[in-house]
Amino acid sequence: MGRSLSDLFIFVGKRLLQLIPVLLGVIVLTFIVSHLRLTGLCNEWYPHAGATTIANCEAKYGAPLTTQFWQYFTGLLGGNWGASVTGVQVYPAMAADLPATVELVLAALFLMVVIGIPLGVIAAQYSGRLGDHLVRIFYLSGWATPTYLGAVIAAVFVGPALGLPTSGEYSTPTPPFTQYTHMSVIDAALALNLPYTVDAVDHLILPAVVLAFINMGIATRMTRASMLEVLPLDYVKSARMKGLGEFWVMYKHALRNALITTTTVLGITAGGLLAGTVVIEEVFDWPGIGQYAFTAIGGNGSTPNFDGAIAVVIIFAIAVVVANLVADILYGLLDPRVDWR
Amino acid sequence: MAAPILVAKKDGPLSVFWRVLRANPLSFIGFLMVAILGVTALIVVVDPNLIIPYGPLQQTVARNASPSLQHPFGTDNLGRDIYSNVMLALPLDLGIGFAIAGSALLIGGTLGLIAGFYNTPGTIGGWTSVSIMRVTDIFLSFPSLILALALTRVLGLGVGPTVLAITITWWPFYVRLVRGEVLAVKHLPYVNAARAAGVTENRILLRHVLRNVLEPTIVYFTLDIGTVLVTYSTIGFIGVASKYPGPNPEWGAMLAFYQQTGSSNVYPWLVIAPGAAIFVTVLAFSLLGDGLRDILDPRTRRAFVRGTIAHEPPPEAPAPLAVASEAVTDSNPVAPVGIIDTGTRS
Amino acid sequence: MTEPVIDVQHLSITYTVGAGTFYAVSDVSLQIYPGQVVGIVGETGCGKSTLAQAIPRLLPEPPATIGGGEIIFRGTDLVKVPKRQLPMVRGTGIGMIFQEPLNSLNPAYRVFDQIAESIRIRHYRDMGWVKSFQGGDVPFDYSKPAAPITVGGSLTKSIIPDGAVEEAARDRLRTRSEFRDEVLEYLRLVRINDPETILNLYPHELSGGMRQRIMIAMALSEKPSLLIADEPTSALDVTIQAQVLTLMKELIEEVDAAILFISHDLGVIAETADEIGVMYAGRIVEYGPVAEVFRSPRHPYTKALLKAAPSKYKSEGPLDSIAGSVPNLSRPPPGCRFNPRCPLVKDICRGEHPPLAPIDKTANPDTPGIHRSACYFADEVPGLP
Repeated sequence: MGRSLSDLFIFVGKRLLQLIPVLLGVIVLTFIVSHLRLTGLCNEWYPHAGATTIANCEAKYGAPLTTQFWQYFTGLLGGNWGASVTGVQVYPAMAADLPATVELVLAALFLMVVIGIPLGVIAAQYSGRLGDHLVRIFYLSGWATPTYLGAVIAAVFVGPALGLPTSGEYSTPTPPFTQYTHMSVIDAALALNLPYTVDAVDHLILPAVVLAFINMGIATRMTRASMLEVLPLDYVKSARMKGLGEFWVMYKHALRNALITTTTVLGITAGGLLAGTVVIEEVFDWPGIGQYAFTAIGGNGSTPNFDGAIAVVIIFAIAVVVANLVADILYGLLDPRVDWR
Repeated sequence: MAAPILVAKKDGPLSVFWRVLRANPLSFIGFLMVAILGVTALIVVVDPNLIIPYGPLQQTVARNASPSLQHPFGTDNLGRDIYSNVMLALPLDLGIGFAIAGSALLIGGTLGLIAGFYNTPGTIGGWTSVSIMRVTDIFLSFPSLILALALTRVLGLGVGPTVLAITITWWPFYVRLVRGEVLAVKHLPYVNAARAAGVTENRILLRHVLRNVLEPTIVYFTLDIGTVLVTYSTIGFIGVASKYPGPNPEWGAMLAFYQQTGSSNVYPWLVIAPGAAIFVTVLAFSLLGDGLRDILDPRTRRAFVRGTIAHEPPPEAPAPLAVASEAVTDSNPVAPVGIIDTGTRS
Repeated sequence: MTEPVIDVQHLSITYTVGAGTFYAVSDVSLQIYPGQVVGIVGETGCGKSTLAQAIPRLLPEPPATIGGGEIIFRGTDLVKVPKRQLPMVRGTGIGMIFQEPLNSLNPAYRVFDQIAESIRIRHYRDMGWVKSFQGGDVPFDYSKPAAPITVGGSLTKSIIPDGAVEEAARDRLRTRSEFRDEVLEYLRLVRINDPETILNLYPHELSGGMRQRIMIAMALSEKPSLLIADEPTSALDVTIQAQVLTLMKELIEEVDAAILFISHDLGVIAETADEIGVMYAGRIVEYGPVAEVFRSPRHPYTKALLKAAPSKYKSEGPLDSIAGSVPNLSRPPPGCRFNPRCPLVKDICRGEHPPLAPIDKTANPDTPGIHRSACYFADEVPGLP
């Protein structure tokens, strides 16, 4: 039985090691993609810039590819991720923005788990009947809504209608306490500032709900499918025959097994949730790396930030890879049949 | 063996298709919607004047008009008819969705077949397979929207480059999907039986494996059209693809334009119309795809149980002695329409 | 005279599926008394598993419908019990063991947790902390000889009788060690040596025979009045099958519960059952004491079945089988359902279905356990080859 604590270290360690080649591949691919058009690259990225900017750009990107890659690679590792046209350093800006996005994604994940999974259980219980169809319509509607549409409808119509704020993390640009984690709700709670905590939660609601609603289908559909596989099995009937009520049969016995695949899928797609934050943070003026990415790419006519864009792509890819890793580990933890050695 | 197996009447596949579709109402609605959208798109392409009264840039006297018979979705601040723009965008968006998903399917599917089938280690096929999968894995580490956005920056603005960018982002999904299916099917007992009978590997790939792989791939493709559409539209929203207002309107670009110019707060139909259009389109494909997935998965076919209660056994009417021959015998095996799975043997 | 633990009267079960209605069980009646083992034998698809799972109303009710009849368990008709109250009957009232040991234990929990769960449920019910079905003041404890059963089990016992609050508090303080002793006791009951070694194992780490024993221990630990065994040995290797069967026979001696034993294996039924019912196409076609039915079958199907079970080695020639095949249960043949394949078939067989009547025409048809057959020509059966 290879599931002791020391085996766990082996299990996690092996997977961490497997990360490295993938990360390297990500960095290389990003580099290749971003340097695909060497001629006129500078004109493309800085269409309205002056001559000196373009000259600097040409100098930097005119060097042989291998030199460029080496500079790029060492720069990445050394924390020098370049700067925008106006000279704002990429790394500090992104580091400051990251926690806000993490907060948003965690909030959305929480909603997806707490609402999506029970909905999936219900859909499986009433499979083929009205309950199933209603749940399906619900999550398919979420899936069919492009992020920008959901964000815009929420910001323009729902927010004002419900009196919920639609912009920023707090009602004032800077809150009157030190921000330790840069996660709005946690900071306000740590400062024991109740009105601001409530304010932070209020600001978090709409963007998190939109992000969760759009991606709810992942959790619900996987839960439903797994439950449908598990429910006809004999151990569910055994649990009923022990005299357990339907609720315990569903949640303690059936769902416990169905969750194995669902959590891994959730983990894998959690990385993809980041893509949604790009639009949502822009619409809701949420100060996270999604918004940073939006401007870096040149959305809505803003000046593109080449270094920033590359950094953003790498960070998002790393997030996906890490999320996959977490999902893999979770699977090994949850399924007792997996041998950790 | 499972509890009693139902015997299907000797129906052709088409009537089975209709019956199953009707039994699963949501997917039937999806199918209808897709059909309607397809026909409408066709009309718009072939003879736009049939249903589109105004050109996309044509300015009318009615400025910021509310929806009316003249302008079903209203007009914007320069009198452009929203309905016309939305309708003109339909074939563009649909066509783009199909083009991207289709290309990704062809490229990724082929690579996936190769990677899955010819993957014995140590051979050329083995090496190819491994390299394909490594590259695919790396591509898959990027969230598709981000990668596509980055690619558009490199490839340029406009519809063409965006389509190319998304296609490059998209093919890895099909590689992973098809390869997984091939691996699952490759060593099924009946495929091994074909091998034992002397069928060449290539023929096995084409005849047996391909057929099995086709089903889940089609389901995925149907759902994927919606996802591709959402991605393209989002890129349009971010402002990198189609130009709006322009001769080739696109829903995402429309929404972005009206949301950013601030007029949407006061004149909501400016965003509601294109938003509803894309929502309905993606929903149609999602319903169809999700329903197809249930239809094709034998484990979830139990969803087709409808409730009719029979209280008495059938009346004891005389029946021809030939009744025994209609039962399932070894000589005329008939595919079961639905299998009631009690999970035990009886 | 004691009442039967379970009294099934004219039970009919249908499945409704998109393509039609399916008559899985038609007009089945049987009674089981405490301490008695009734075996149901039949081919695959004859409805015996449906019957077994219908008794504790385990069948999913939307596709399956109980079309008519009663299931009287210790005085209460289970067909009329609302779904919400069914869990009270199961466990301490009716227990069940399943066929596939691979799937009948939850793979996510350890052996100890699964058996402890059953024991905990029984304790909570014994103390009244949770509504239970145990009728009267005498809980059914199979370790004592059967006490007279009070008819009319109380499903309306209040949740918190006096004194139960302190009891419940004490129960929550019951450490795992108390349950541990009981769990070990039940594991020893199913003849597992050194049960301490398997307590912390997961089901996938055990052999099939071991899992089956654990399932039996789980069911017995709740001390049910009725134990339903749905083909418990069918998925096991022959040698393991023999071991588990020996175990079951010994338990049957020690335990006073009523047992319903389902199998397609005539030999297994012959070893374990007191009375046997032969099912065909959803109906019981013959019933009686097992020795009598085997020695002198009075239904053409039973006779053919016994003949088809090879008892001697054959050096050449085909094995005996029954011509034709099982009917399609959405359109069963009129009258006796065996008539398309029966050597004794006459016109009357295609009219009304023959009643399950005693072969001794002079006997009182309500005598329990009397040998009956659902054939108009039961007397001619001994004469068949």
